[in-house]
Amino acid sequence: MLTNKSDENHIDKSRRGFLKLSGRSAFALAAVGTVVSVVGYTGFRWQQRSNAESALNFSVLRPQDIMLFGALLPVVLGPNPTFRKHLTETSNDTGSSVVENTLLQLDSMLAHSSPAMQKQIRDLVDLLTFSATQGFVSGYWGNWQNASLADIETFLQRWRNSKTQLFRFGYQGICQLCQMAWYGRPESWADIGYPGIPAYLRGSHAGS
Amino acid sequence: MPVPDIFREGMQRGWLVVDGSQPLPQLPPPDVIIIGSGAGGATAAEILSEAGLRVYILEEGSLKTSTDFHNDELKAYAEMYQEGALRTSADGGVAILQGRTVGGTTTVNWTSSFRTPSSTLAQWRSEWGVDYATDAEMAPWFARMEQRLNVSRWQMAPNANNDVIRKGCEALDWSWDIIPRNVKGCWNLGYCGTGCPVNAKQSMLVTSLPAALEKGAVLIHSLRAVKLDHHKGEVLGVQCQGMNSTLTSANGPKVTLRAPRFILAGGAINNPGLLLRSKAPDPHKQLGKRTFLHPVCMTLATFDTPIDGFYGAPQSVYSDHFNEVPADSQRMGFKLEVPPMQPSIVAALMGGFGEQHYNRIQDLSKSNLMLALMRDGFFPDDPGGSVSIRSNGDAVLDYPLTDRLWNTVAEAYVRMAEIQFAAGAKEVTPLHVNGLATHSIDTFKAQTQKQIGTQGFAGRLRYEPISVRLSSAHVMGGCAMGADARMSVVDTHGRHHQLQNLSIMDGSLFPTSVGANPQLSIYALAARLATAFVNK
Repeated sequence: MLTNKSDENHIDKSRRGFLKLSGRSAFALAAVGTVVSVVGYTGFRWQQRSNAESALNFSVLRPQDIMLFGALLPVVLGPNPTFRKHLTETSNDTGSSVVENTLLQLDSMLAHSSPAMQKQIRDLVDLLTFSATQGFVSGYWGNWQNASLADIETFLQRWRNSKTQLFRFGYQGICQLCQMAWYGRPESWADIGYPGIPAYLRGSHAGS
Repeated sequence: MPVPDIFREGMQRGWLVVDGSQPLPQLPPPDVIIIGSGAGGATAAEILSEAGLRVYILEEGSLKTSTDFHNDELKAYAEMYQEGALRTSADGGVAILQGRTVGGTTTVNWTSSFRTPSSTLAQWRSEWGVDYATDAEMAPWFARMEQRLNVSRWQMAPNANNDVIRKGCEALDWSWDIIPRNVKGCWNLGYCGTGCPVNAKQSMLVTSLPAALEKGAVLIHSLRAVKLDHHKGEVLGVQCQGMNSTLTSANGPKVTLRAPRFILAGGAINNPGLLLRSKAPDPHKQLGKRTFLHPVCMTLATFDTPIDGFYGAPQSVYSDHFNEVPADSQRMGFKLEVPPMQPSIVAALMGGFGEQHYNRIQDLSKSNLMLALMRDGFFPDDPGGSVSIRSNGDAVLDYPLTDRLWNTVAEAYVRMAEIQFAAGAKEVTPLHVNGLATHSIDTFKAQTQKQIGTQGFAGRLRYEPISVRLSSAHVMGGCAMGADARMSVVDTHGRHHQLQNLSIMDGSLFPTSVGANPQLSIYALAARLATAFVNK
């Protein structure tokens, strides 16, 4: 497997230089810009791609966000039985899947966050899906839809243990968004021994 | 069973509550405009209204009342927290939970109500010239607000999650105590963080705001204060704009509101943000500096017996055993408490992914999270963070993580694990991206060991941003009060040093962190300052 240690180190050093110049507020773009310049990319297609509109029925997530989070979600949530069950059950029919429902939840969370957070997530996804940057930053060069469990685990571990704070931030962001979204949904609760809100409260709100 | 929604009932009786995302109706002219409806703003609004002043209360969040509170975590985080509960410090190092709704954080906090510690008041007096910062001077204000908000020590048995602190501290012979809470007729449900569905929490939403509205105050919600117009040391008006439906930006009708006097109470990130956008005079570059978080680190314990920490008063037991430190200490003081254990927030906190995460969350009902609330801002090498504005005008907090903080984390990890093991935990995990479950305090110590004064790789955990999971539910400072204008933004009465008709009355005044959950400190200080404001 390609890991490109030397490239990662190069990025690290350049990024630190950038941070000294500009402060710490534009993390994602800093790395994007650095990586793009590393590979000598001119930026036009980049611009075109990163400005894409949100997908149908989603307010923030774009098609590439949905593709990436859709691929990562089952790995982040792991052997959660309910999630797994729905995942295999709905793979044959066209009804809304457990992945789509969780992504809609994630979309709603981001829709209520802030322009800055929305941009950070989009920049991270661009880093991870743009062909000129994906391999360098993630260590995985293939299509995310085709990635194996092991490929994605390796990527997540790489970011979790990275010396680059941006990547650790990305790891945390990906995991927390997926975990908050799924475990905020009632269908996830039976697996984890959470009985839900007390029944008498559910009753009091039944008509509201 | 129906619980009366006293806020909606008041609106039906004719309270002046206006949705600022729509064009404003004709309104009576204000004597004072208060920006922010949380602990500081609402307390000031009640006192000023009582004195016969017509106040406007502006709130950027939307209006949610008890009939909207369905104990639904994700709905509450999205609708009632700053940045949908996804707010972080600039580099993502600290997650920040802060209210964004009518009533501010008081609508969603966990009700812990402590008086300002004596040692904190002493520091404000000696270092910042706040001459009334003494127990004797402040006691009547604490007492007044405790009575107003029905603060008393929690009478029911603590839930098992809180009881871990009691059990552990008793076994170790460390001090602990019961937490005073601002509740009346509490149902012991455990969902304070998603808005009290039975109006038992004595938040601003059911106390001071209704009292002010009864006296003719005007509440305009879903309206952002974008910029203050000022000229020759006087604020002339506030440019406002209605919020969008997701509260992410202001794109609604614009209006400029004028009044003879203004009070800022938008909290410790948004107050400096507004003043920075307004290019308020700041000759000594103090605005937005000294912003504090009470950064929190946590340990996760698993027991053989049920804990069910998602039910029952979320905070009822604490320990201050490590909260006071000598002047030559290498660490900060820290207060020990627990958070509520609802699944979405705990899933996001406990760390790991895949099988590791699922194994942890599977034990939710047998798990206890403990937190150490670190008392930042008391040492010269710990100046806190600073607020700046993004290109779109949104405020953001840069909060550097110092070696003093990492020393405190390392110590707090161990102390919390000691309590959890002493209370019978079968395993304890530090909430660090590489944290692993340990079955004894010795292996826990080996894992978390940090050498003082270094980044600390002696154990297996790196003490660095993001790897150590840090959160904050208490944002303070950024508009420090002080007698010396060279090192503060407002004087000790909350009056802006340069803008003579502008006062600040909320937690942004604190020149250090509090060292305890801050709501009662904010209520008492705002009550004192608002009373002086009226009598002047």
